[in-house]
Amino acid sequence: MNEYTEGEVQQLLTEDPRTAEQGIRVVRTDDGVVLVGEVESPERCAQIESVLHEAFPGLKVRCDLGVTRVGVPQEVEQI
Amino acid sequence: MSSGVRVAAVGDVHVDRDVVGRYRPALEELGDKADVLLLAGDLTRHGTADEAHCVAEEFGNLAVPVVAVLGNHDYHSDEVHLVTKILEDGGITVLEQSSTVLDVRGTRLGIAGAKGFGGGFAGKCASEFGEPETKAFIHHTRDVSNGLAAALQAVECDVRVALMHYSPVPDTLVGEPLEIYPFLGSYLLAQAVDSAPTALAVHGHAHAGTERGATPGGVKVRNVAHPVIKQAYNVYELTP
Ligand SMILES: [Fe+2]
Ligand SMILES: [Fe+2]
Repeated sequence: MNEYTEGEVQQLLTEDPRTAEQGIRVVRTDDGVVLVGEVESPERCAQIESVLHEAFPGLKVRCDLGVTRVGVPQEVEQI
Repeated sequence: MSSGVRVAAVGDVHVDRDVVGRYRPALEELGDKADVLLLAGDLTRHGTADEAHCVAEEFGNLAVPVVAVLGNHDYHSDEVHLVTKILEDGGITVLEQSSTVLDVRGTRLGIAGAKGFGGGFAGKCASEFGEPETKAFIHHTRDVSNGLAAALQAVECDVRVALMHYSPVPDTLVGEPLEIYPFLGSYLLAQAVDSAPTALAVHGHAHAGTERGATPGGVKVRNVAHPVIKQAYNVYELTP
């Protein structure tokens, strides 16, 4: 994939209302792209993958996306 | 029981129907952990009324007061007034170049908030010069920063917190590509923070940034974007 495709992928992730993600890193590989980052729900990982498959049918997309944890903090920072 | 004021904070929760319920177990423990919860903008995905209702459902009716600013995502659908009203009806105080004071066991905690905006950092930033589009961009940053400064200076309290979505300093952006720093914050916000005796400045927006930094005036800055803190909220204790 070339640099222009990388640009289009980045814009699509932000501007498509089904994804609306600005915080995902698009890493170019020889035969496609790896998406790295965190989202707020498991549904969003699947949605991102399907939006990219739809827009770039020939592109090999590998998702390395995680769902951000929502644990209770154990520490307090003194300011 | 500690004597300081405990401030819980998280930003960039980007709530939609699919997120409702996820934060709730951690939020139910807030009463034991903190005295207030700050939400540092990007509460929704697209800034719709529907999503605002989801935010009110998830972050409303807690054991502590909730104070928020909006982020760029919350502006996306051009329904800021409606979104603000839904949040306020849900019991969430929404600040924009304004402030609120909470009584925490006799200590007056003042919180001044504004969305903020981009432009970049001292010596490497855009200016109000040239095309109208460029002027408008920086004019907005200046406007919001001046409004934040005025709100911080005016609030009468014992301990003062600045709440923003965009970053006042580059320190907390480390991890983001350098090329996009001008879209992540402005040093004019730091100048606003430093114009009053501020104890802590909290922001979000930089999902790939770093938690800790400080303004040139020495005010501690914390990036509480959810993907940065990787838990439901962080807690900071301030001693007046
Ligand atoms: Fe965000
Ligand atoms: Fe944002």
